[in-house]
Amino acid sequence: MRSRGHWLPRAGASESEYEDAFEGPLRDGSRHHVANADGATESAYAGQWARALVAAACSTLPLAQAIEEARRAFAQGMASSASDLPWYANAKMAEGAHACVLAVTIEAGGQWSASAVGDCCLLLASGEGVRFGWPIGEASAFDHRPDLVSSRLDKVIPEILHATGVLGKEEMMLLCTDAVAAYVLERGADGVIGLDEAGFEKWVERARRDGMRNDDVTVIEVRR
Amino acid sequence: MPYSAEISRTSPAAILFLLDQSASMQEPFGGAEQRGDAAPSRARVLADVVNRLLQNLILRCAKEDGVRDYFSIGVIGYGERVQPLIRQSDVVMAGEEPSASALPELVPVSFLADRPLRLEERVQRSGRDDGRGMEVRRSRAPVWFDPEARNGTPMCQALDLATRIVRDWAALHPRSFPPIVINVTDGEATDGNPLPYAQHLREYGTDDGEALLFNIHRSGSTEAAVEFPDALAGLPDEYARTLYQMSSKLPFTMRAAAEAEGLATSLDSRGFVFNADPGALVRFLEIGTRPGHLR
Repeated sequence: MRSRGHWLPRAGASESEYEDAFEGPLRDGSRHHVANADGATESAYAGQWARALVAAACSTLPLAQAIEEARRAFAQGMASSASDLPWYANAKMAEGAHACVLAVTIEAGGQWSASAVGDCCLLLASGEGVRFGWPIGEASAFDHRPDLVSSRLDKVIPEILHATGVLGKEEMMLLCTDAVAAYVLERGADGVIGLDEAGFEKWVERARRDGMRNDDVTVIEVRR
Repeated sequence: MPYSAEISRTSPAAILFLLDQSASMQEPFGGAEQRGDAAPSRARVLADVVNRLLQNLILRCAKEDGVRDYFSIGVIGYGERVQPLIRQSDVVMAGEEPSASALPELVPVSFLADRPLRLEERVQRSGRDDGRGMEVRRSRAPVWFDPEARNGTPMCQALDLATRIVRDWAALHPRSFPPIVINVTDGEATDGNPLPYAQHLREYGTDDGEALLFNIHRSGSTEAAVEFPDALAGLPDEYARTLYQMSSKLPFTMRAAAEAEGLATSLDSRGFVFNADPGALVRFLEIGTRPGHLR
C-alpha cells in the first residue's frame, strides 16, 4: 500500500491557519488506516480539534469510540489553556470546536471500509476518471452545512455514515476535504494524481483560478 | 450568482444598524400590559437584541488567536438626533491605525470585541444535549449600547445617512459583498414617507449585488409575529406594510439559511420581521448577516 498526503491553507491564510488534518497510513497487520478531518471555519481551536480527531480515527477503533477518545484528549489539552482570556475567547472555548471527519481502513486485497461525519470525501479515480464519490457523489450536493462533530463531551455525535468497496489495482483512492472534492467531482482528477509538493501547489493555484472554492485543501492518495 | 462574494479579512462585509431611539420606544412590547407582565421597554429589548447580535457577530469571527475582521460595523441611532453611535475616530483615539479604506461611521469588528461598555453576568439554564438533566452555564455578556428613548422618529434622515455610508463604502469596495443595513424600529416615521429613501438606498451596491435593507418592526399591537413574508396580504397595519415594501428580498444563500432554521420561504420572501419575540429577532439577524462562507 502506498500513500501520500498533500495540503495547503486557503489562499490569503498562513500555514498556521490551516484547519484541516490528516493521518496515516497506519499499518495494522495486513490493513492500513488513514483519516482526514476539516475544522469548521467559525470554530476556535478547529485545527487542534481536527488533529485530535484524525489521531484517534486513524486506528482500529470504530469511529464513534475514536471520537470519544479524541474528545477526552482535546479536553485535556484545553484544560491547560490560560484562564485570563478575553470574554469572546472564553465563550468560544465553552462552545467547543467542530469538524468533519473521514476514517478509512484498506485491506491488502483492496477491500475498504469507511466511516464519516460531514463532507470529507472518499473518491475512487483512474485514467478513465472518477468512478465513485462518498458520502457525497456530486459537486452540486455540497451545501456548506455539513454535519459536524463537536469537541464537547456532552454533545450528541451526528449520525455516522458507513460504506464499503474495493479499490482496483489500477485505481487511486483520494481522501479529500470538501473544496477539492467538489472540484474533482466536477472537473475530474486529471492532473492532481501523482504530484510532488510543488506540482500540487501549482495544481491548486490553477484550480482556484478555474473556480475551486477558496478553502484549505487536503488530499491523501492511496494506491495498492 | 449575486451575493456570493467571499467575505474575508481582505474583503470584509459592512453591516450597518439603524436603531430607533424615539420616545415611543419607552413603551413595552405588545401584550405585556394585558398579561400583567413587568415588561421591559421596547428600547431595552431592542438595545439587548443589538448587543446580542454584535456578540454573535464577534463570536463568529473569533478564533484562538483573536477576532478576525470579517465585518465592518456601524450603528446609527435616530431619535433626538440622527448620529453614529460608534466612530472610526474612536479607533484612532484608542491609539490604533485606521483602516486605509475606512469610513468614519464603521469600525472593524475586532475593535468592538475589545471594547464593550461593560460585561454583565448571565445565567443560562438549558436541557443537556444528551438528555441527562439541565445544564447551568454562567457567562459574561458584553454590552455596547444602553437603551434610549427620546423625541420623534426621524427614520428618513437615518436612511439618508445610511445611503451616504452605503454609497461611499461600495465605492471603496466595488467587488465586495454588498452592504447590509438593518433597521430596528417601532415603525412610525415622523419625518416623512421612508419608502422612497429605502428604495434610493437599495439602488447602491457592489458588483456582487444591491445593498440589502432589512427591517425589524416591533409595534405596540398584539398582532401575531410574522417572519420573512412574501406578500403584503396579512400584514396588520400601514407601518408594517411600509417597512415590508422597504425591505430587500432575501438572497438565495440567506433563504437557504432561513430554511435550515425551519422557516418556509419563497423567491419573494423579504428580510422583514414583525412583532417577533427577542429570540426570533436574534435568529432573524443571524440569518440576515450570514451571507455564506466566511474566509
